[in-house]
Amino acid sequence: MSLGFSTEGSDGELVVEGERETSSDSSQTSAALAVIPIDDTLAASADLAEVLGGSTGAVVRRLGGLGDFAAVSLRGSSFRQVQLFLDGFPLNPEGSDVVNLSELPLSILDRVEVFRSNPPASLGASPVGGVVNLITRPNDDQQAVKLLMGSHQTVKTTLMAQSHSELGDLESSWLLNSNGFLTQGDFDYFSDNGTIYNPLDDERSSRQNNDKGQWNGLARWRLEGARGSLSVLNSTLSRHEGLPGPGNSPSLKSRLDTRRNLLGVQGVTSGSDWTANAYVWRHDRSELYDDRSGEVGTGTQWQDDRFATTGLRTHGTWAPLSKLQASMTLSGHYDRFQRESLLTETLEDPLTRSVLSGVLALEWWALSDRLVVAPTVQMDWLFNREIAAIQEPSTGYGQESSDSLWSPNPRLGVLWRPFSGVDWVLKSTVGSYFRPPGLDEIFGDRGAIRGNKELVPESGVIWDLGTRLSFSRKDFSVVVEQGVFRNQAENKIVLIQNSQRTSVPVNFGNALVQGSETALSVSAWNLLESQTNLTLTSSLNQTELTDGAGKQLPRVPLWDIHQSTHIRLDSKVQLGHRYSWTDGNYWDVANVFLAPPRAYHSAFLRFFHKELSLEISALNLLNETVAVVDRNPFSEEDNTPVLTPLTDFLGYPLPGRSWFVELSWKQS
Amino acid sequence: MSRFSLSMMGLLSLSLLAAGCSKDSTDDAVDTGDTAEADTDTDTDTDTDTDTDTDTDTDTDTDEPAAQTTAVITTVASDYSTGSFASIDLDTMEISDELFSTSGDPAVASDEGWVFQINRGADSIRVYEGGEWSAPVWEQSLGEYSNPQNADLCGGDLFVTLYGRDYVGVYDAASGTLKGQVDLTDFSDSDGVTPEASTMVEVEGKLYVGLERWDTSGEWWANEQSIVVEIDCASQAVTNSWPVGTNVKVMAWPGETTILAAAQAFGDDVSGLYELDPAANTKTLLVEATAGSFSGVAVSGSKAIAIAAAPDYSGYGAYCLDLQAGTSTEIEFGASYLNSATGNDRGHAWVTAGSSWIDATAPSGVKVFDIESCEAASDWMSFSLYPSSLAFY
Repeated sequence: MSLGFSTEGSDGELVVEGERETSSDSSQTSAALAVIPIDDTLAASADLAEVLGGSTGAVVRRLGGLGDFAAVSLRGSSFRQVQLFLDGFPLNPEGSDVVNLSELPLSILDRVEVFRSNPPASLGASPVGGVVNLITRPNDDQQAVKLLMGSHQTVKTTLMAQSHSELGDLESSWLLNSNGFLTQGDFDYFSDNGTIYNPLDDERSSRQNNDKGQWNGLARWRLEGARGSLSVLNSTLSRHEGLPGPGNSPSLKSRLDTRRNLLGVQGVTSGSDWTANAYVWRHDRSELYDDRSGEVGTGTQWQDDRFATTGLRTHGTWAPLSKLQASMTLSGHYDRFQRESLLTETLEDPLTRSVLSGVLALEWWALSDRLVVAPTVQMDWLFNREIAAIQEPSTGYGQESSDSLWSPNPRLGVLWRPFSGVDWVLKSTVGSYFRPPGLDEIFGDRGAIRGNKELVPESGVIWDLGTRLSFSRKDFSVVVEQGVFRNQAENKIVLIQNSQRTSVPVNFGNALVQGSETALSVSAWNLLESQTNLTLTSSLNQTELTDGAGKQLPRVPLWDIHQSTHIRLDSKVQLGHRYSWTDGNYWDVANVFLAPPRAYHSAFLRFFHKELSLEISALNLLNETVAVVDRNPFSEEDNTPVLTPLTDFLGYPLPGRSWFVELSWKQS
Repeated sequence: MSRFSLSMMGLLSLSLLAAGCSKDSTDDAVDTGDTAEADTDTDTDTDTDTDTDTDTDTDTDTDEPAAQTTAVITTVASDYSTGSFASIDLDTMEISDELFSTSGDPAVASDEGWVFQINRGADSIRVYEGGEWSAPVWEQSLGEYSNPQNADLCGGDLFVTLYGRDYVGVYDAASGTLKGQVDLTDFSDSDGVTPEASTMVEVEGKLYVGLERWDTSGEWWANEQSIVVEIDCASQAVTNSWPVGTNVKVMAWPGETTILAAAQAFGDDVSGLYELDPAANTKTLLVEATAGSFSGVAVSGSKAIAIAAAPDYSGYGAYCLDLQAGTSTEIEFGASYLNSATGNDRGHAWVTAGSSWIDATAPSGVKVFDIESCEAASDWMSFSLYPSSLAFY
């Protein structure tokens, strides 16, 4: 099989569009990669959090239900250690922020690529936690209108139109997508009122101040020819939401308004043995946070935080020999953060950072293309302390301080296909990765969090070994993937309290996460599609914290199982079911509270009639909202059971059963 | 079943408190039920308190608090996700760790043999009978965002300072029901929220409460003057006040009728330890804090052990104070995050250290100092979690 340019995907990595993760490109790259198609196997109520949460090695944590904040962790990483891209444009470069998955609608996407290790050099990223690259829909002629309504006064609308046409030797295509989302988020939840010894004040309450209103717009235009292509993408978000706070201390007034705009231009050109990509982008984000009642954070806050990133990345590949391909990626971006306090009517001085990075990569094919060796080295240079003149409290201790950071990160990937004619591969990667501290961590950001100018990047060495075996016959195929991984993270950045009411991020120590990932995919007779993922993760806190040393990392579950089944009964009826099961999940660093095992079911039933479809779906089908736990986890004698709400984050309850109906019209 | 019995016993016991009796004053048990019923009768309560005060003045042996036997400590995880409770026997120094779980921001106070376990972020309070840790006598939510800080029995009622309210809550000691409020609106600071009532001490039948008065606009800024208010427990009203520096902490001076207040510099007040004399209505600087500001002081006689953070938070120190000479001498300074200093009736200062952001290997736990000699009386005693507050009963 040729591994030349022709099989490159939109991000320059070897991918095959439109195929399920277990049947395609994972066999072409040494990376631990899952490619998840956004297709009709998903319920209309599904969101990006659900899609990512079902991926091997991924754990998604939500602050509530549909529309609430959600973020993803890969292989036990922190949220910031996972870097997200939209068509190759970075959404949180260098893990500078946590991406809220609820801000990104599925309707604009064709597939989601999850790199748990060894992300493509073309992205110029080497995050400790991995990369999620969101790929927008391919060129097509299609119009669609969708209306979803359901529990908690949820309404979701999707208007989508795309077309392509010939302009001489060129093909022009455009895509417009408008996605509106409204919900009151007023689901019922159990509250013990913060008094586990007093059941008399236990109650079921409705979530308040949890309304979300969001509009996403995506416009994309592409011009493609024989020698290259040009693509312009603009993604806009306007989101208004209440911040409900913890279930036992709900906030009633706190609000957050978010506006984001990503404008990106990508150009691609190629010759007989080379290709070149260039990405230029501007990403603006504004967060208007109103907590004038002092409900959520420490102190009263009313401020407008503005982030902006301007960047350029070029990626060139050259194949001087038929068995050798070299690539170089150069990128730079300039980040700017500025806060305006509306309480004090002051505009603070902007904080800025410049980042330069370079990636050199080789791919070498041997043994009749059955062996691929891909060494890569990435170098990052961050000028992130250029505003050291700003007077922040000096910590007076610790790490050496410098005005810039320099971090070389080599990695190596090997893929071996032992036998010709058998779709069986063995692969392994090893590499070092890093995440520099964000501007907020260096200079202070949210009220009670002090900056620490002496932070050094988090770093990690990731090693994994995997195998993939695929068997297909006529209309039946089975793909099995099995891998083991070991992530050794160093200099973890954690928040530690340093005085009565302030905390400071510090480099605090190491963590080891290792585990096993298994995926089984079955497709039969165009009738059944089944995907089962099992992740076993063993994590070890290697800090010297009295309460955490030698213990399991919090919120990194030992067991995580996801199963999805999709059945096409005939051309007019489809049904699907998703199941997830999590166990061995501690809520706290001291491993005091072990969350009880949690199982979730969701299902949908969809009917088609010509260009119309009607779908009924349910999330949390069995209405699991509470768990029974020991009142005193320290005592072997006190086994008094008490109820506790099911949560992803301690204190933030999750909704019970939710129903949705979607009416859809699609014309191709 | 056993829980029900325990609660009933506890309610009966606390009914004794509602009558203004100490836990060990069983001779007065006959009166307690009636007094608890008569809570709404202000005159009756006032009379009872007056009697008690008279007794205190005339027969100190009778109302002398029982000798302290136990230290109780709240501990917290380094990520503030959960907390725990521990105790130490003062005679054997035996540690009983992980007695029960608490919220991630716990505190503890004690009075008359009762232990008040306060859950600041969870807005609740538990009342335990000292030594009986299987379940609290009662537990109550104090209201969303009430943020309780300290608790003290006075005049048979439980007074609780609430960061999130512009009043000191007065609760029925037997049930936790809110029965009154000490209005603090006259002392609200310019941020318009609350005066942040925090530390509290009872002296001569009156409560002295430190109003920290933070400017909570964005961050917590100590840019307004703190005030110590005197509360008459019977009338549940403020009867006097003293402006003292900022970020004030009040504490008792055992054997004296004056109050001590540690504060940061503000206006004409330098950072240091002040003596407030309610009788003379005076404020006197006892010791100036030259290396940071005192965040906790344990006093015995004319000596004290104080803890302070360096101004740049590069370390935390323990200091020996001579209250007569007005001197402060460093005992030790390091990376341990010293977060409280509490004195007991044995002349010891117990200093707690939480998780250090400076050096993860820095000692944490509890360390005992002899106040008179200003020398350490123990090594660091460690716990499964990090100590956050400490009290004695």
